[in-house]
Amino acid sequence: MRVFYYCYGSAHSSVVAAAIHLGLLPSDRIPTSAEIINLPRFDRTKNHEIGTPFYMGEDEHGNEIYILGLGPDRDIISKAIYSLLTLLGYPLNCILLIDALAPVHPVTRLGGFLSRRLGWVRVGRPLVTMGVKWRYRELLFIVNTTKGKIKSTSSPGKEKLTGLP
Amino acid sequence: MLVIYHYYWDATLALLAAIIHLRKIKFGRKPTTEEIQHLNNSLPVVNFQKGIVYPLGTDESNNQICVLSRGKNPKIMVNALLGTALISGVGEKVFFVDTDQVILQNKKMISMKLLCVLARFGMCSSYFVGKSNAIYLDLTNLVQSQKEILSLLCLKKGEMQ
Repeated sequence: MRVFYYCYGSAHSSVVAAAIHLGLLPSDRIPTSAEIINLPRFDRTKNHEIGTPFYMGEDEHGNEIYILGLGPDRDIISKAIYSLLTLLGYPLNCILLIDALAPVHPVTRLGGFLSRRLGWVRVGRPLVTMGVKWRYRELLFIVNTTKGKIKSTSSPGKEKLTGLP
Repeated sequence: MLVIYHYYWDATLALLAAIIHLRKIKFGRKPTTEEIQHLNNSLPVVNFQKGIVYPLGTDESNNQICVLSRGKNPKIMVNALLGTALISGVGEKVFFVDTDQVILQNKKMISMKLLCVLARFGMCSSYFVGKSNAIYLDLTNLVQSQKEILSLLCLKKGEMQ
């Protein structure tokens, strides 16, 4: 199974969600600011990289975890991805697109805009971290729900995945 | 190969590009307004739903021709679709063509954009495309050049195999 956590720019909420999924961030407490900032690819994606999927790692069950930035049209693009893969004959139970932007705090959005769009990293990054900590439990809930979804579809998905190029 | 004509501004242009590609209209002739209207009505889907890839037919090289209504930013969409398809092992079979570039490259851009905004509300689109020789020629050139690129790509793939 391939899991894509997507947000606006694949710099913040998708990175945190992927990190929770991979066990890089704790699931029993709210992480410290240093833990969040030191995550790979956190607040690093540049504007021209939006839309490019980035590989984050493999979870304990062998599922590949990716992050993806879909800009302002994320609903349309996620629908288009499913539509295209269906047309190409790819089994849809092998792919999961998860919206990680929905629970994001407005402070994170503001911080993300300042850091990524305007390049004011010193101002934006602490705001992003603060917002992520405030909405950490919601992100945790999304990841746990995703893990549940994977469990319910994992066995047929894995069988089909082995036949792919 | 899957050839996707994607658009934000005008569905008729993308539809027309796909039809030119499929040779339902012969090259070198401007279609009449009635002809476009008839084509619009004869196809199963007239109002393309955003984010859904609609297959319209297969061309002479066995490429499947599709139309996709997308959001405003073509780069993000192409990156995301191609990226996920490549990761899934099927990305080499997809080819994207942005039909909006015909509008954006045209000298009368502001008036074209205005007409396309009207077209988004289902007004005057067919009339505008049918009457505008420049747009039709640009579109024909675009499809022809993309077809050449496509055949080169297929040739290269064949050589590699």
